[in-house]
Amino acid sequence: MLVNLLDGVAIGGLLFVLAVGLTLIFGLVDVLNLAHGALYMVGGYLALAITGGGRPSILGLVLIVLLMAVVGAGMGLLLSLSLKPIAGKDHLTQALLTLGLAMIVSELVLHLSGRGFKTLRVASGLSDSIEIAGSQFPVYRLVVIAVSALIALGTYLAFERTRLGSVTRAAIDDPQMLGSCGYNVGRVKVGVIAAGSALAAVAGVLGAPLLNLRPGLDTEVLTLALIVVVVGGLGSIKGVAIGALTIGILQTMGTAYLPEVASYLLFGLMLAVLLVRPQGLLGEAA
Amino acid sequence: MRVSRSDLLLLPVLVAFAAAPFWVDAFNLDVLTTGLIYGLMAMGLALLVGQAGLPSLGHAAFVGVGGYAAALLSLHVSENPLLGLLVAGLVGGVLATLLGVMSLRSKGVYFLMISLALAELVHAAAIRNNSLGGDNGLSISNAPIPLLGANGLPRGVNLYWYVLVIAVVIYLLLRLVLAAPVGQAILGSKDNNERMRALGYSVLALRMVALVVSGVTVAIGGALLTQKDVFISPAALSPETSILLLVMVLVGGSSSLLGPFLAGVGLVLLRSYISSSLGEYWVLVLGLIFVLTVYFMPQGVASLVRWQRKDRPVERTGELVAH
Repeated sequence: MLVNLLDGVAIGGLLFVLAVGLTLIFGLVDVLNLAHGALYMVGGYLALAITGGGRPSILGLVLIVLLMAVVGAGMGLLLSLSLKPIAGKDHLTQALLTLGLAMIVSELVLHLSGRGFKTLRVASGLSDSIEIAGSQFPVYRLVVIAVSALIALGTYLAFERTRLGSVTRAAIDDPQMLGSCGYNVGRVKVGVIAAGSALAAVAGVLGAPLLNLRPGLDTEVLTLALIVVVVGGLGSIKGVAIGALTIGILQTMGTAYLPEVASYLLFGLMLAVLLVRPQGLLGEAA
Repeated sequence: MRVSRSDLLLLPVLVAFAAAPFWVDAFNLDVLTTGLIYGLMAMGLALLVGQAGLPSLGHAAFVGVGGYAAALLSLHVSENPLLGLLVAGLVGGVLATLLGVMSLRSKGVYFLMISLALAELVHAAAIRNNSLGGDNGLSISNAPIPLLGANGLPRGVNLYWYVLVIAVVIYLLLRLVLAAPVGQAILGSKDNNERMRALGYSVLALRMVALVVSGVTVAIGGALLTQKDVFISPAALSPETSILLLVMVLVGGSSSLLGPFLAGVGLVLLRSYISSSLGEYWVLVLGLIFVLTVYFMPQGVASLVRWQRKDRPVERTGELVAH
């Protein structure tokens, strides 16, 4: 029971790292980035390509994570470039463009790496299990929990408590005032897209040992991230944290205890939350 | 529904479609049948996107529930294809109502997100549910197609005419809906929300009607796909299907029904051609078509709809208020 709960927290942590980028890009740049799942996929498959299917060392894993943050940020830059021609258009236009790009990117990834199920091996030294409340629990999942908690704290502090954060929030609240204070509003927005994309690619590395790398992974994780954001409320970091934990735990517990109905649980949760609060748990009313 | 002179131009098109079995070989007739089904589904989605202004990224969910409903009915209750269409339509309507309850009270962007999530959840449920055959899907028997009775023609030919008749009937029904007061009110709720509210319409209810009509249409298309292939698997309701349907609507122009219909037929033919020569690159081509469609729309996709509507005669607005 406790072990299943912890499992759910690990998946929830992973979902947070993935979905927080989605919500930040939406909340601060007003772009619905449906290529988020494809960025995750790139992170996972590139990490696999670098390790060549072998077991990385802990240092190697750290380097891969940092490298993927850079790669993800780079892809974020490309994404903001590709969004330039349709700047100021409605959400549908952005959503369609990013979805089309996601299709192309994930198809290329699958083409280069092959379509079978693949998995990234856990770093040596993290592949053991420890005993928790009488059951075995993989150390790697504890690491995922710790790393995602750190990322959560970092994002929260960066956006709510620093000058960089207030500049970023000002970019959407009052871009003209920010501009007249001498800041480059466009550059701030590009920065947010790059940061959000970096988080998605990092999530891809962290999650690769937990969720197999396979065709359709991009839409699968995108869906989970969308449900997290819809349930938690668009544009709220705390909302994402609550949504991610709820969905991580619900899905893990559901699969463990109610396997027949597990695939309908997320649907039921989304239905229930939206019936009571159409704007999501912590979202602001429209 | 008013019949205009331009409708007469449709007659030769209809005759050409009806005569297809006489000049198209069996393989291409099969592809064309699939094309008609996708065209029919594209009309259903066009009504939602163009008239109600609700772009759905998850219509594969309706293809799926319609297709599986028809398969289950054929396996366990009755092999009557028309009954299959009826039940599929009902199930599609129920799912559309659920989607509406979840998404229509929220901000517009939620509709995009929730429809996409819904389709993926239905997709996952189809893969994991053993009574639906999991990844392998369900096969049904080769039931006769009720049209001309036992006429000795190949199944493919009868099937083609059956699908053509259903597509024409659905086209006429959708036109009736659009011409009816409720159809005009749906269009009004998209163009001018406040005015429709002031006129005493519930915008929520109008959107719900559009969503249900659209969901029923696409679910019937899903049932037709199952009946044609005598098979359905989760692959039929992958996100690619939702995207393909939306591309058909965007390429065909979401303010008309025939445009998306013809785009549907055309894209299925294109897919068949590309798949046979390029294999799995089809998805890449679809993605490219998609991206290019977005870039070359004059004012973004949603405004394309508005841009086309400006060409309409002004009296239309007067007609709308009169109801």
